[in-house]
Amino acid sequence: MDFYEIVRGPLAMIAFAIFIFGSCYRLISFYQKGTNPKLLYPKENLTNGFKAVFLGLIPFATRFMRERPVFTLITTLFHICAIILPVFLLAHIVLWFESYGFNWGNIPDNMADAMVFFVLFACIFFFIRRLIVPEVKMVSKTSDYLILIALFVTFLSGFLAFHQIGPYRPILILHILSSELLIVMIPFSKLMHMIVYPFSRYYMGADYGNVLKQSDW
Amino acid sequence: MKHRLPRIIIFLLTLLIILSLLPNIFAQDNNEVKPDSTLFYSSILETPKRAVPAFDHTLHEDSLGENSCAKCHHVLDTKENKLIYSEGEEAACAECHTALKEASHETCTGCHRRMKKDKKIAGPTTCGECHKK
Repeated sequence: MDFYEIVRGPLAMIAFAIFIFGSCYRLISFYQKGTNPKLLYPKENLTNGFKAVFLGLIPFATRFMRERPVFTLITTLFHICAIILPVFLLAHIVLWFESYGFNWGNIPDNMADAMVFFVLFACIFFFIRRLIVPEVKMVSKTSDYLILIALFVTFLSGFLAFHQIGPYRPILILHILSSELLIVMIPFSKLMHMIVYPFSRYYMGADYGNVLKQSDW
Repeated sequence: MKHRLPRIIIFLLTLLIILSLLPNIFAQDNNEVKPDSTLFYSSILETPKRAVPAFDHTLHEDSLGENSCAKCHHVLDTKENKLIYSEGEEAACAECHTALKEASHETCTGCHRRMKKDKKIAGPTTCGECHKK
C-alpha cells in the first residue's frame, strides 16, 4: 500500500491511541501518587490555587514572567502560534473536512508563513537556552531536546511542503511522521504540560498561598 | 527515568519505518499530466486559493477501462433520487457543482484513494501532487 496512506491512516490512529491511553495512564498514576497519605496537603481553600492557574496564563502577570521579559514575549507568541497554526491552517481544515465532515474558518496563508518563521526562530531560541542557561540545562533531558528538534522538523517540513520546495512527497511524509512523533511523546515527556498544567499550577499556588503564606511566583 | 524505555522504542520504531520504506517514499507519482481541460474554475467566479490542478481527460478515459465515462460523469435521477450515468448528457463538473472544491476533492481524491486501497495504480492522493505550483 501507498506509504502516504499508511502514514496518514493507520499510523496516525496508532499515534492518537498511544497519546490517549498514555495520558490516561499518566493521569491515573499521578492520582495514585497524589492520594499518598504521607504527603502534606494545602488547606481546602480554592482561591490561591485557581488564582495561580489563571495568572499563569496571562503574559507578565507573575513575577517569574516579569523577571524574564524577552523569554516571556517569545514563549507567549510561540504558544499562540503553535496552537493556532495547526488548527486553523486551510490545508489541515480541508483534510478534517474530507475525513470527518467538519469545517471551520481558516487563517490567511501568508499569516501562516509568518507564524511558521516565528515558531522556527523560537525553537532555536529554546534549544540554545537549554544549552547555555545553567538552571535550565540542569533540568533538561534528552527528550526535551528531542521535542524541540521534532517541532522544528514538523514546522519546517510543513512550510516546505506548502511551498513545494524540494522533493514534495518525502517532505510531506516527514511532516506527518514528525508530528505523529510529537503526539506520541505528549504523555511521556515535558509535552505533558499540555494536559497537567492546571493541576501542577493549582498545587503550587495552593501550597504557596495557604501553607507558606506568600503568593506563587 | 521510568518512562525512558517506551520513548526510545517508539523513536527507534519510527526511524526503522522511515529507513525501511525510503524507496517507497521517493516513488513519486510523477506521470506527466497535460493540462488539456479547463474543467476546474471555468464557469465560477470564486478565485482559487491553490494552484488549479491539471486534469488529463484522455489519460482517465484510457486507464479507467470499460464504463470509464460513468466513473465521473453523472446526472441526478429525480424520480429515484440518485446519481446515474446518462450517455450524451456529460457536462463539466462546474456546470452543476458550485462547491467545486468539495466535489472534486471527493470525486478525484476519493477515487484515487479507493483505487490505492484496492492496490491498483492510481492518481495522486497528496495535496501538492494535484495542486502543483
